[in-house]
Amino acid sequence: MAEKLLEVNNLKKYFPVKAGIIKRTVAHVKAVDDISFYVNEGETLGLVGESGCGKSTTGRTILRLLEATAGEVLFEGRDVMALNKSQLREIRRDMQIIFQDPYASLNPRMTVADIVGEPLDIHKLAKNKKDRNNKVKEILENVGLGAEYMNRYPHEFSGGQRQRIGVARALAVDPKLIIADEPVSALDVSVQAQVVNLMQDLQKEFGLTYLFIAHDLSVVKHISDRVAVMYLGKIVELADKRELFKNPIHPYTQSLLSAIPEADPKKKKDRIILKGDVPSPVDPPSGCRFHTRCPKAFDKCPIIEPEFKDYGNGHYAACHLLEE
Amino acid sequence: MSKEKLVEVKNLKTYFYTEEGVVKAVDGVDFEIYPGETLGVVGESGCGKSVTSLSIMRLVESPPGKIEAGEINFKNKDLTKLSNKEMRKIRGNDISMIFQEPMTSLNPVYTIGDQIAEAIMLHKKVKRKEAMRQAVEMLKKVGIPLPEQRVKEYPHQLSGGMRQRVMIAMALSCDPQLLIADEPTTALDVTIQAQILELMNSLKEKYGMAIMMITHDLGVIAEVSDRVAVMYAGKVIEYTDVDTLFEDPKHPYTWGLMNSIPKLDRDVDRLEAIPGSVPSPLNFPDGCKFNTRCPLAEGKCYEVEPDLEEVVKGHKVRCWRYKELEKIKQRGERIYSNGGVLG
Ligand SMILES: Nc1ncnc2c1ncn2[C@@H]1O[C@H](COP(=O)(O)OP(=O)(O)OP(=O)(O)O)[C@@H](O)[C@H]1O
Ligand SMILES: Nc1ncnc2c1ncn2[C@@H]1O[C@H](COP(=O)(O)OP(=O)(O)OP(=O)(O)O)[C@@H](O)[C@H]1O
Ligand code: SF4
Ligand SMILES: [Mg+2]
Ligand SMILES: [Mg+2]
Repeated sequence: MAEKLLEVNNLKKYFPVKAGIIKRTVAHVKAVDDISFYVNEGETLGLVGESGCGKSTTGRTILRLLEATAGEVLFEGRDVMALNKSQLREIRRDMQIIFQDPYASLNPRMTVADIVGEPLDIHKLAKNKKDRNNKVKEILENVGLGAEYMNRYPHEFSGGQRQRIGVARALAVDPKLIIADEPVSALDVSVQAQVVNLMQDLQKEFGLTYLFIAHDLSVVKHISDRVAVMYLGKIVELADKRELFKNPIHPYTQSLLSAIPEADPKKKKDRIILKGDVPSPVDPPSGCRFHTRCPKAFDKCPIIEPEFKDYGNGHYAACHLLEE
Repeated sequence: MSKEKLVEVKNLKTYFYTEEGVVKAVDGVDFEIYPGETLGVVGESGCGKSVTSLSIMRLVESPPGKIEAGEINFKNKDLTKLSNKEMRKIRGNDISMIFQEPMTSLNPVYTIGDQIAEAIMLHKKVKRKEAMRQAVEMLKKVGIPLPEQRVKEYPHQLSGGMRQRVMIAMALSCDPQLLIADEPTTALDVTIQAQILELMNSLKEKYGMAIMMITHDLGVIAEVSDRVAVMYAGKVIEYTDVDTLFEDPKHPYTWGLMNSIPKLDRDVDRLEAIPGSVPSPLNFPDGCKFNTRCPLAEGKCYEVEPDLEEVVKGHKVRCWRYKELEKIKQRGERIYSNGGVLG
C-alpha cells in the first residue's frame, strides 16, 4: 500500500490587487483556489496547465515560500502550515525545489562547490571542511559532473549543466520530496532529455518523490505516474497518466490534448479549437471557470460550480457533464 | 519540382564582428521556397534561424552584422545586391515578417487600427478612411471579435494571442508572396497556439502565399511544413519534404532530436539523449560542427566539413557517415545512449 508523502487539502492562495495612493486592496488574484491532491511516496505527480493557471504558486505555497490564504498541507502527516521557523527549516531538508531558470537561480559569484555545499552548511550536515568537500564531490558525481568542475562559476556552464547543478543543490540535503518547477522548459530541446533522464535515475537511486510542474504535456506524460490538470486556479482533472491521456473526461483536458502539435506529419488530429483567451484570475467566471470557453457548456455551468469528484479508480474531475 | 522557385538562398553567410571575435551566426545556408509552400526551419537556440530570416529581410543590424557571402534570389532578383530603397519596397509589398514577441514590433503609443492602416497606406494608394476600413476588415479576417472596437485599442490592452493576430493582420495587409514567421507561437499557450496555426493555415489556403515558418518545435514543424530545413550551428544540415524527414531522417542530429523528445502516442522508459551542448559560434570545431556530440564521428569528421549533399532525389544531408546511420537504423539499434549520465 502506497503511503501518502504529501497531502494538500483545499489549498488557496490569493494575491491582493492594490490601487490608489493608500494602496487599498481592491480585488484578489485567485491564483490557487481550493485545490486538493496527494503525492504518494516514490511517485511522480505531474502538474500541467497553461501560463498563469497557478502551478508555480501551488509549488511555492506548499513549501511556504508563500503563505497560504487557506487550506492544509500535510507532509508525512505533519501540518506544514503550523510549523514555527526552526521546525520549518528542519522540514525543508526533506522538501526541496528546483527552479525553471538555470541562469537566474544560481548565484553567479559562488563556485559550484559553494552552491552545492551551502545547503549542507545551513543544515549543518558536514562534520568538517574535508567532509563537506567529499560530500559535494559525491553529489556532483551523482548528477554527472566531475570533481574538476567544483571551483568553477555558473557562467562557465551550459544550460543543461547549470540545471544539473540546480538538481545537485536540491539533492545535497538528501530530501524526500522535490518540487521541480519547469526544470527543463528553459533548456534546448536536445538537452532536455539529459535532465529528464537524470531526474529519473536519481528517483530510482534515492527513492525520491516528485511534484513535476510543466506546461509541456509530452514531457509530463513521460516522467509522471499520475497527472493533474489545472485551469485558472483549479484542478479540473487528475488521473493515472495512461488513463488521463487515453481517456480524458474533462472538456478542457480534451481540448488541451487535442491542441498539442505532434511530431508526426502523417497524423491528422481532430482539433477542438477553444474560443477566446483564458479569463483573468482576478474576477474568474462564475460557476465552472471553464464555461466561457467550453464547447460543451450547458445551462447549469455558469451558475453552479461542479464538484471535484472521483469517477472511478482515482480518476478525478470537476464537470457537470459527468454527473448526468 | 517543375514549379518556379520563389526564393532561393545559396550559401548565405552572415557574420557579426564583436569584441570577442567573429560570430559566424549563419555560415552557409541553402534552401528554396516554392510559391504557396511552407518551408519549416527548425533548430536549437542560437543556430541562426532568426539571423537567416533577418538577412532575407535585410534587417540585420549593421554594424556589427554583415552579409558576408551568398545569394538570396527572390523572383530572380538577388536581394543582397538591392539598394536600401529597393529593399524597402520589397518589404512593403512582397515579403512580410512576424516576430516571436509581438510587443517588440507593435508601437505602444498608437492604436492598433492606426498601425494597420499605416501599413496599408504604405503600399496601397488609398486614403486614411479607406485604410481604416480595410484595417477593420483585416482584423475580422484574423478572427478578432468586435473589430470596430478593437481598432481603437492600444497593444497593451490585448492578450498575447490577440497581439499575434494583429501582427498577422498587419503582415497580410500588403498581400505578400512570402510571409516569414519567426516563432510566431512560441510565447503562446498551446490552446492559443492551435488557434493561430489554424488561422495561418486557412489564410495560406485563401491567399496562396508562401510561408517560412521558424520554430524549435518539431510538432509545429510536422503540422505546417511542406518542406523542412534542419539547422545546426549556422548551417542547414538536412533538407527534404516533411514526410521523408520524419520517416527517414538521415542526419545523426535530426535522428537524435526526434528520439530525444517524448511522444504522446508512444511510451518509452527512457529518452535517448544527445550528449553535450551546442558549441559556441565563436568557437566552432574543425570539420563537421556536430562532431563534438555525434556518436558516429570518426577520422574525417574531425578534419573536413561535409557538404550539404543530395543523397536521394530531394533529400539533402550534411554528414560523412549518413550511410552508417542507415545501417544502424536497419538493425533497429540506437546510436545515442539512453542510460543517462549515471551509466
Ligand atoms: N506575487 C504575486 N503577486 C500577484 N500576483 C501573482 C503573484 N505571483 C503570481 N501571481 C499571479 O497568480 C497567477 C498564477 O501564477 P503562477 O505563477 O502560479 O502561474 P503558473 O501556472 O506557474 O504560470 P507559468 O506557466 O506562466 O509559470 C497569475 O495570474 C499570476 O499573475
Ligand atoms: N547583433 C548580434 N551581435 C552578435 N551576435 C549576434 C547578434 N545577433 C545574433 N547573434 C548571434 O548569432 C547566433 C544566431 O542567432 P539567432 O538569433 O539567429 O539564433 P536563433 O536560431 O534564432 O535562436 P533562438 O531559437 O534562440 O531564437 C547566436 O549565437 C547569436 O548570439
Ligand atoms: S462543467 Fe460545463 S462548462 Fe465546465 S467544463 Fe464541464 S461542461 Fe464545460
Ligand atoms: Mg510557473
Ligand atoms: Mg530566433
